[in-house]
Order: sequence, then structure tokens, then C-alpha cells
Amino acid sequence: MTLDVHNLTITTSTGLTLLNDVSWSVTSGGRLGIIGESGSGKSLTAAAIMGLLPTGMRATGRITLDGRELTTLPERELRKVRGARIAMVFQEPLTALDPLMTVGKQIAGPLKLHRKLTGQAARTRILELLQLVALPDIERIADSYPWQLSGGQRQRVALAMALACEPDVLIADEPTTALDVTVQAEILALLDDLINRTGTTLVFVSHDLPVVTRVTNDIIVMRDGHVTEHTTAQRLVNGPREPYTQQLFDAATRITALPRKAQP
Amino acid sequence: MSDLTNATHMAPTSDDAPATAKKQPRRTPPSLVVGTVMVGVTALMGLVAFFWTPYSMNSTGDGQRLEGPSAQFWIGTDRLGRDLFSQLMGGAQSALIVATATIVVAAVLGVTIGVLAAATTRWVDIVLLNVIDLLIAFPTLLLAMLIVTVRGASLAAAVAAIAIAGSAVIARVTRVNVSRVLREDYITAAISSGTRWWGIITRHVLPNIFPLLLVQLMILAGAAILAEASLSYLGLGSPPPAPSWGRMLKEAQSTVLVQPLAGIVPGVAIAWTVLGLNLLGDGIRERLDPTLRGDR
Repeated sequence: MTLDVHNLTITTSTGLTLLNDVSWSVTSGGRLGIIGESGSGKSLTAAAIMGLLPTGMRATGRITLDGRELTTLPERELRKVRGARIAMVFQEPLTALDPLMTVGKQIAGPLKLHRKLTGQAARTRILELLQLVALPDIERIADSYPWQLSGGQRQRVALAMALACEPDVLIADEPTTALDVTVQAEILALLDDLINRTGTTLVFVSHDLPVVTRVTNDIIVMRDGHVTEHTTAQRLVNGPREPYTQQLFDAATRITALPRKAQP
Repeated sequence: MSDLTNATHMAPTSDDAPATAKKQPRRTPPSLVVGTVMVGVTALMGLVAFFWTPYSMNSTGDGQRLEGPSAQFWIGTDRLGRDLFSQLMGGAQSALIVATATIVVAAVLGVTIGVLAAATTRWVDIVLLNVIDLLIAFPTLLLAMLIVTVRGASLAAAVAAIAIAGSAVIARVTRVNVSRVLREDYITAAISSGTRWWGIITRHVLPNIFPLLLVQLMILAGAAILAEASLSYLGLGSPPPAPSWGRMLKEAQSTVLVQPLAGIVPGVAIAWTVLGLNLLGDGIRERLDPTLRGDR
């Protein structure tokens, strides 16, 4: 499995270039991190892969999954890729789940679409998935509404939904940003574990440098729609770094550096 | 709705933060109770009128002309000696028919147009939006006169005019709310898991705009009853002798000093029903709107 983004450029209808000549690729079991500040185009890249660009935006370049071009794929064919081969987890776990639908029914959606699973078979798989994301009391959670769950639980549900049809690639768009730090750590550990166990390829989009280095190996640094550096987590932590990456690095470490000085 | 309430009485989760906030029993808004009762009275009167009225609605021979209230004629008789209470019930029947027909037509037509405008292509949206705006700008009364001129005065003609105008209003409300819901993250999530257009609309969009639509339909029903009364008052509604509150008002006009009840009763009936429908709509909104509900 190879997901290849080649010379991807995205322009708005007014001629603004939001993404400029972005190229990267990730293969089976790979873990790619995309990092950058707000507006750097990192989420837009994710949206382009899913074919979810806002109307009016135009993508040129190539996005291929195992050599199959996704940007020109008809909607019918694209639907078979979405959720089945490439799945996505979003930033806000509350708004990413339909408030009027129980957790079980939402997970049942992709199962019915791609696996034709219904009734008891679907129920079994739903409970299995909830078990997989380490939720307690799965029978009850399956029948709960999203707003009855905590932020961490919701994100676990979103993960279960994304992994429902065992996709090749999981795109996580800032999946821990809306969570508080302790829950964030839990979700990251879970994600790490799930990726290891299922062998899913991970594309992890975030502005949070420590988070990205924790779960990915390959890292793309983006700014203003350009890729400024293509590096590895190892190199990013140990340096040397591009000037902009250095800025991001300093911004992230400065806060954790303070309390250490206070210690004797 | 009942699903939501059923799901609330669950024990809080064991670990991972107190997930379920403990809910105080849901308070029923007073406007919902009052509105239901008010609308219920009219609806009941209208329904009973299908089977039974104290006197025939149109027979002129039952009493003297312009009798006052008595045990025999509860609120008196009109200038032709017809029983006012029976006519009041007949009027309720007409109001019920008009309101129901308008709600059904506007719900089907309006929601379809609104969804198509919001959830298909930009060109469909532009075309439909202009049609909607044109219909909203066009006075209902004028539309009714147009239809009456072509097809003759009847209850059906009045309902058609009101339903067309109502559909436009519902279409606009639907369009706005569908495009709002379509921007929600859970729609993006549903699309990214491969859900097709029809599934997005029926599984996610329509359930989420349903409470708002219900409120709008209640308000529309009130407006429809008012419009039918206006049309009948002007002689553009169902022709006599079919009963109507609007025409009762008109006929009472010449005898208002002798028999004031003949004018007051249908007037109060109209105000009562429309107020009831508005309260009902308000109550539904209050009950279903999560921001007013204190659930989270």
C-alpha cells in the first residue's frame, strides 16, 4: 500500500494559492506526521486526500493510492475508498458525532456501507470495536448518545468508527487538540497501540510538535502552504533543524523547560 | 424525542470521568401545555363537526333570526336563524382542514425544495432560491385571487394559495438549516466514511432539523388559518353555505349592534387557535432546543 501525494497545489476560486507543490508519500505501516501552524495547509492536505475540499477550491497535482488517482475519481468510486480504505478522525470529538444518533448506530454506518453488515453481525462487530478502543461497559456505551460521553470516550468512539472497516490509511486531523492533557496522553497511547496492532498506516496532522514526534516517524513541516522541511522524529528532536522548525521547536520546549530550572 | 428521554436514565460511567451529567427531570414548558390545550379544543371541535353538530350548520329553520344565547342555541343564532355554535364548529372544521393540508403540502414540497437548494449544486440553489423569493414576495392574497379567478372560489383554491405561499416559507427555513447542518463536522465525518448523499440527508440532516421544522410548521398552521379567515372574509374562500370563521365575521358585520356575539365568537375563535398554535410552536422549540434544555 502506498499513498502518494505529488505536486499537490490547491487554489481558491479567487486565485489564492493555499497549498503549493506539496509532495510526500507514505507506505504500509508508515507513520507520517504533518506539522505546521494554523493556516499552513496541513488540514487542507488531509481534506484533499478524502476529496472533501470546500466547493470552489481546485486541486492540481496527483494523489494516488496504490497508483490509483484519487483527485479525478468519480464520486461513486471515491465513496468506496472513503471509510473503507482511507478513514479519518477529526479534531472535535463532540461535533464529529451526530448528536441524535447512538454511538452504536454511528459505527454501524460504515459497517453497513462497506461490509454489508447489519443486525446481530453488525452489533457483534460494534462491540468488538468498542472493546478494541478500550472503552468500559461497551454494551451501555453502544446505546449512549455522544453527549452522554466524556471527551476522551467520544474520541475513542470516533477512532472505533474510523477503524470499523479496517482501512489501509488512517488520517488523524488534530485528534487530541480538543482534549485535556491527561486524556490526550491516553488517546495517543491508544492510537499508538492500535496502529501497532492493526498495521494501519497513519497520517497524523497536528500543530503540536511533542504530540507528533511521539506517534510518528516521518515528519513534514509545513508553513504557508509549502513544505519547509521533510525530516524524521529522531532528527527533529536531536537537531539540527530548519529555521522555521527550530522556531516551532523552541515554542514547544520553552514552557517545559521552566520548572526544571526551579529544581535544585 | 422519546429515544432521547429514554436514554437519559442511565448510571454514570464507572471510570473515565463522570461522563453522564445527572439530569434533573425535564421540565415541560408551560407554553407547550397551554398551546396543546388551546389547539386541542379547536381540533376536537373540528373533528366532532365531521360527525355531529347541535343543528345542521346551514339549516335556517331551526330558530328565530338573531336570537340571544339560550339553552337551545348556546350562543344564539345569526341573521338567517342558523345556530351560531354549529357554525362555530363548522368553522373549526374548515380551519382544521386548511391547517392540516397546508402543513402536509408545505412539509413535502417545502422541505424537498429546501433540501435540493441547499444540498445539490450552486445553480439549482440559485434557481430555487429565486423562485422561493418570488413566491414569498408575492402577496398570498393576490395569489389567492389569481387562483380564484381561474378556478372559482372554493376551499381547495384557498388551500392551494396558502399552501404554495407556506411551502416557500418552509423551503427557505429548510434551506438555511440544511446548509447549516451540512457544515457540521459530523456530516464531514459521515461523508468521509463513505455515506452517500441520500444517507447524509435522511440519516443525519433531516433528523437534526426536524425540531426547527416542527416549530415552523406550527407557526405556518396559525398563519394558514388566519389567511383562510381573511380570504373567506373577502369572499375568496369556500363559497356559502360552507362554514368558515372568516365569513361568519363578515356576515356578523351588519348585525353587530343587535347580535354582537355573532362577531365576537368567530373572532375569538380565530385569535384563540392562532395563539394556541404559536404557543405550541414556542413550547416545542423550548422543549427540543438543547441550548434551552440544560442537558449538557
